[in-house]
Amino acid sequence: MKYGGWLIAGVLLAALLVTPQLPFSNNKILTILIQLFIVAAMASSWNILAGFAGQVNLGHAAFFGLGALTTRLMWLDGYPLALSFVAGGLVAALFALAIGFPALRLRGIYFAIGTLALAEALNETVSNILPGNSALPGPQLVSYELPSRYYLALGVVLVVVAVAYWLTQARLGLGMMSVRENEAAAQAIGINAFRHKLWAFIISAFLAGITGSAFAYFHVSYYYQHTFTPLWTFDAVLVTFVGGVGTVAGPILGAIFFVVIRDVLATNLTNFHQVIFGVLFILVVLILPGGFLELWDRLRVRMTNSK
Amino acid sequence: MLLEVRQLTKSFGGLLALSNVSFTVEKGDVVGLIGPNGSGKSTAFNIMAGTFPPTSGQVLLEGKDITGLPAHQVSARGIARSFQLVRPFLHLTALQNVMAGRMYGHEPVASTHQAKTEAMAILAFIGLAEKNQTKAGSLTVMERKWLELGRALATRPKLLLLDEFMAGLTPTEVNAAMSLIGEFKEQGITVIVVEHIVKAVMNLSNHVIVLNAGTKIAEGSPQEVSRDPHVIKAYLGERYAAH
Ligand SMILES: Nc1ncnc2c1ncn2[C@@H]1O[C@H](COP(=O)(O)OP(=O)(O)O)[C@@H](O)[C@H]1O
Ligand SMILES: [Mg+2]
Repeated sequence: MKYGGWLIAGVLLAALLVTPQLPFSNNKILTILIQLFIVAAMASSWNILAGFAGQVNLGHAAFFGLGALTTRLMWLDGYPLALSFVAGGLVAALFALAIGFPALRLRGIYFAIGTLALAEALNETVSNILPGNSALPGPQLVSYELPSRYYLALGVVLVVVAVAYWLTQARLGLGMMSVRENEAAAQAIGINAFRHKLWAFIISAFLAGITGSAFAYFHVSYYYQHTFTPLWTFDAVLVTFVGGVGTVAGPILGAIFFVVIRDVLATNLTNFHQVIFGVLFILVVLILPGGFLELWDRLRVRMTNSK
Repeated sequence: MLLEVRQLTKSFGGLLALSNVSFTVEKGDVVGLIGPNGSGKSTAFNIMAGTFPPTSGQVLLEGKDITGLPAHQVSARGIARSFQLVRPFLHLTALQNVMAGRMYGHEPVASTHQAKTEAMAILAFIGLAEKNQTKAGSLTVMERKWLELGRALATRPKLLLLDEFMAGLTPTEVNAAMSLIGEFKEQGITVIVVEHIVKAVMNLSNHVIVLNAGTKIAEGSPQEVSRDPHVIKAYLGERYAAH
C-alpha cells in the first residue's frame, strides 16, 4: 500500500476511535456506524473466500447466524462476553471445516448452489427449533449502552480488514489467488488447491462468525432466524462486487456506499436500496468488473496522464 | 537415473492414448519427445506431472515410485512443467506469478522478501524484469509463455517438462529458447521437450523418443532416430530424412 493510503487509513481510524466521545455523537450516528461495520465485515470476510480463493459461497449467512446464535445463547446464559464472542467465531469455523470437505469438492456454480442449499437448510432448522424472539432480559437492558457495541463492531471490522490485508502480503494469500486464477497451474507449481480453499473457507467463516457475535451483542431484540436469512449473504455479495471483488479496500468502499444509500438516503423507501444495488451490481458485472476501485484507478491513470 | 517410466498405459474410455511406453532419463539429459499430433505426448507429460494417474504402469523419480501422486506433491518432489496451452495467473503480476512458484514447489523459500528477490532474478533471466509489475493478462502471448517457464523454473525442479514451448515463436525467439534450455544443464535441471520443430529438437536433445499412436516406435540419439525408417514413415517424412 502506498504512503497516501496508509495516511488516509490512519486518519479514518483515529476519527472512528474518538467518534463516541465527540459532542455531536448520538445514538443514531453510532447505530449507523455499527451497521456499516457489520456490512463491511460481512463483505470483506465473504471476499476472502470468493475474491481471493475464487470460491463463490452463497451460504455466508449461515456463518453469521451461527456466530450470532452461539454468542447470544452463551452470553445470556451468563458466560463472559469475551468467551461467548470467540466461541461464535469458532463454531462458525468448525462448521466450515465440517462442510468444507464435501462442499469444496464441488466446482464453480455447484459450490455456490451447494452452499446456498446448506445455508437454507440451516435457516429452516433454526426457524423450526427457535421460532421465537430473543430479547435482552432486564439486567442487560438496564446496563445497555451503545459505545461498547460500537467498539466491539469496530474491532471486528478492523480484524477482518487486517486479515484480508495480511493475506495479500502472505504466502497463504498468494497460494489462494493462484488457485483462483488457475487450479491446474497452481497444483503444477506445488500448491495444494483443496487445502488453500479450505483455509480460505475456515478463515472467511470465522470472521463472519465474529461479525455475527458483534450483531448478537448489539441488538436488543431480534428473531433468532433473522441472522440466518440469505439477505446477509446477498448484501455481502452485492457490496463486494460494487466496491471491487478481490481487493482489500473494495468491500469497505462498497459497504460505505451501501449504508449511505440504505440508512441515510432511503430510510423512507423500504427496500429502495436493494433496487439501487441490484442495478449497480448488474452494471458492475457488465461494464466494470473491478467495481468502484477500478473506476478510481482508471480516473487516477487518466489524471496522471493528462498532467 | 533420474526418471524411469515403466510400461505406461492410459486409456480414455475406449481410446488407448498410451500403450506400454517405457523409457529412462538420465540426470543432465535433454530428451526430445516427438511424434504426430495425438500420439500421446501430452498424455505422457500429464501422467508424469500427476495431472491424472495412468491406467497401468509406473513413474519412478530417483528410484521412488511417484505414480498417481497428486500434481502438487509431484511438484514438491521436483518435477515442473509448462502447459501446451499456457496458463499464467492472469490477474496477478509477473512478479507474483514467479513468486508463487518460488514459495511452493520443490525447495520453496518461506520468506516473502527472499522470494521477491529471487523471483526478480528469474524475471531478468527470462527477459521480463521490466514487466515485473505488469499483470500477466496484459502480457503478449509470447511473454506469457516465458512467464510460465519462469514460474516453473522458480520451483527449482530437477526435471522440467516443456510441452510445445516453441510453438508459435519467431525464429529469433526459438534461438533464444534453445540457448536458454542449453543453460539448464549447468543449473542441474534435466529437461524433456515436446516439440514439432524437428530441427530444434535434434539440435537440443542428446536423446530422442518417438511416439506414434500411443506406442514408442523408436529411441536413440538424434542421428539414429532421424535415419530410422519407421520414424521417417510415421513422422519425419521423406523430406527431412533426405537432409
Ligand atoms: N483428457 C482426455 N480425455 C479424453 N481423451 C484425451 C484426453 N487427453 C488426450 N486425449 C486423447 O488422447 C490422445 C493423445 O492425446 P495427446 O496426449 O494430447 O497427444 P499429443 O500431445 O501427442 O498431440 C488423443 O487422441 C487425444 O484426443
Ligand atoms: Mg500435445
